[in-house]
Amino acid sequence: MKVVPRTSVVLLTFLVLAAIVVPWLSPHDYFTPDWNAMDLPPTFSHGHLLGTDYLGRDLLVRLAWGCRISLLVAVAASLISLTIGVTWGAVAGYLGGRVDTVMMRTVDVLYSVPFTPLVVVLTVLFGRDLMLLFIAIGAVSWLDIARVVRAQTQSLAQREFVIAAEVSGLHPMAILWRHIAPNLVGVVIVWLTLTIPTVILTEAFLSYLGLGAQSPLTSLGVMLADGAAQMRSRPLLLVCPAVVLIVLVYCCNRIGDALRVRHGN
Amino acid sequence: MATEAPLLQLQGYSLLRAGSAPVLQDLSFHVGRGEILGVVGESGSGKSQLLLSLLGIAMRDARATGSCLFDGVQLVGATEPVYRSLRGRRIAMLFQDPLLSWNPYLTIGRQLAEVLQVHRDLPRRAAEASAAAALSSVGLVDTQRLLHQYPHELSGGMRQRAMLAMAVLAEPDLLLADEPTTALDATTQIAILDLLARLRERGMSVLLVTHDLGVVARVADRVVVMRSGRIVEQGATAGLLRQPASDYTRELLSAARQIERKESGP
Amino acid sequence: MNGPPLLEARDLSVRHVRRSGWLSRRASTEVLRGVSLQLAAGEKLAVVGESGSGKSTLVRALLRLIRPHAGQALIAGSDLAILTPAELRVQRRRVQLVFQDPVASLNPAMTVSQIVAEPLRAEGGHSVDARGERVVAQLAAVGIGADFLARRPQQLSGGQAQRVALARALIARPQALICDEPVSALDMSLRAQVLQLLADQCRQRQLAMLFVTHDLSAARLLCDRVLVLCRGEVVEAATTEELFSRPQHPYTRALLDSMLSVDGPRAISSSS
Repeated sequence: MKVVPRTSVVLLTFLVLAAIVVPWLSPHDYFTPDWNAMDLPPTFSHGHLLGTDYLGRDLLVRLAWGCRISLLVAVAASLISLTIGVTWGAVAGYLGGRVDTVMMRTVDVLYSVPFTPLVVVLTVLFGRDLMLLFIAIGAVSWLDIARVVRAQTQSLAQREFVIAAEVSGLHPMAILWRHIAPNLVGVVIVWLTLTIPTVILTEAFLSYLGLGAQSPLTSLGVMLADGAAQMRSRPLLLVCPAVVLIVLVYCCNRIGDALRVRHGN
Repeated sequence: MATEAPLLQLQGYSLLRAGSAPVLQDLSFHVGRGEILGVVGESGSGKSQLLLSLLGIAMRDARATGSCLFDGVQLVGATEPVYRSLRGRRIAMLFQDPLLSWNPYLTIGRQLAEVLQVHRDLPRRAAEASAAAALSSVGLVDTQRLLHQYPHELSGGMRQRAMLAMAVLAEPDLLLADEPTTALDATTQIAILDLLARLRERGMSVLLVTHDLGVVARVADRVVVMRSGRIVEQGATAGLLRQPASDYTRELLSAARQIERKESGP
Repeated sequence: MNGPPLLEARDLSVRHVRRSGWLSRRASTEVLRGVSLQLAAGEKLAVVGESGSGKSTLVRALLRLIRPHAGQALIAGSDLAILTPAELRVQRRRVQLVFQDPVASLNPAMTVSQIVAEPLRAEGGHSVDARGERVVAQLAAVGIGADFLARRPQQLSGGQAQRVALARALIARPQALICDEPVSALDMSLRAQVLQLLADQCRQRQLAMLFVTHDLSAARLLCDRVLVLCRGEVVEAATTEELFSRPQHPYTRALLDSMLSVDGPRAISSSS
């Protein structure tokens, strides 16, 4: 197995850079309808390299924005769940006993909450908001990392260097921070790279159902939903976001896999 | 008997790896029939690699050169079928950790019977009967119950005894033992070493790899001292331990004697 | 040397409780049964036992890293069970541990200098410079040069790692050292060196030592008194001289008989 999946790293970097740079370079923006340029095929004449949608908005720019939003949601939601999950798992795993039982049973209960209906209810209550999407996804995906981190912490807490730290009279929180946390980095990074693609997919799924980004703002999921509606007349509107989504998720998974192999040793 | 060739004869045997220092270099020694040869070395001396390469399962990118005759069969450059016909049947191996060498999902009885079915083509019933006999031959009691137990239900000493029973089940000519007692308690260690000595009486040869000169002193007939893949010296056990020829052996001995709280050297 | 012993166990018993299956009752096994011992300042006591004798459990129970189900563990006369967590941390600093597997006992995410400085950091009140100086001095005392400061545990050999572990144990000037099989993971030629180092350091600093081992010869090399532990119970306690010349318990005799020597099986019992 290759240690570094070079192709994936290059592709991912290219996509991220493109998502950032394209909207600056293009003369068009993602929200202004252009009634003179509706449903254009790819053309060089007006700078619509991939054509336009039914409101005459440039597909390439919207694609870049969709990519931005999807990545933003993925990274933000992952970081939220990372913060909650790692803290929760490490504290539960290190303190053990009753604290552990209560904390982990809480996780079990939250696991049993059906995710999609929850998001639907939240959206109905608070309206469609990108922030809500961060919180909803983040609040669910921290459960996994909490379990992983707890298990890892428990095994680290048995290790002799942790016992040595206890005997030298270090405060439990200092032990957690200085001796256990640094040894969790490997697991967490691997989890992160494998979770980001999952979150991208979740966001796409929710947006497809109309629970995600609100028009005119877009995301890959929203674009897929719009594209699917005109799949027969304008296949490009569906194919472009689909390809970007696949490449994005594939690259993240490959990199995550490679990291997992490296940290597994 | 004196004219008979030794069971295992190495001549200028080396194990080379592309792009790094040789793992084993220019080893020449022999193991006689019904003899225990102790191979002594510390970590990194290549002694475990020696055993694995004799079985043809050394590191994948390694290449053996020189000559290694086992009962007249040249092992250097031998094909996989040749090795397979020897492994288990004529050359058996005993590992350091008795827990890792058992399959945790099968009972002791199943694993012993399998060896017999494969190597001696016995029917299942007969295989189980001789498995029980083999277990009692290594000093284990209540063998019927043992046959139905799983490896983790046994103590470390019992596991290693049972492993020894399995290794000698196919009545191999040569037993390769890699630190067989290092993971065991002192009292169990003695029992296993005495079992090895008994197997020698039955005509089996043993290549005993260890880092412990005390183990060698207890059971080995002759000793080979290794360091960084080379032989430092070899000779009959009593003579070598009393009057070592090399500085390295002297150092090892004095380190051991220092712990035993005795004067070093004669 | 009056006053309470530095380290004391009074009828210490430890049970391992485990649930063997779903809905089944809790099964408990007694790993330590009524063990009592005293370690006075400057004294060297060996606890000898084979696997399953409960010697590692004893070490952990003595420092209250696990809770005994009966009996008391005391450091310098104070019962660890009734101390607040903060007081417990202060008492524990009087005693330091050296483990069997030197590499596992060092945090792989830290450098040698960070590892050795850790007890000083726990103690508090040292400036960064003062810490650094003491780390270098302590490492030098155990034979580790300043070029090792930035290395990580994975880059050390077994013997070097054990020296670093010893430096960490000694740096905060404890009064007692508990060594749990400190040399059994090391090559033969290193064992004598590390044991010698332990002996020297203890003598220079007048440290008390609880030496936990399965190896009677190492116990004899270092210790004044020996406690023989078998299946969680103390079966014999004697001075080293006595134990080797007149073993009382059959188990002790079996242990003595199974000692190996480079000069043949009988050589050990006949000498000394």
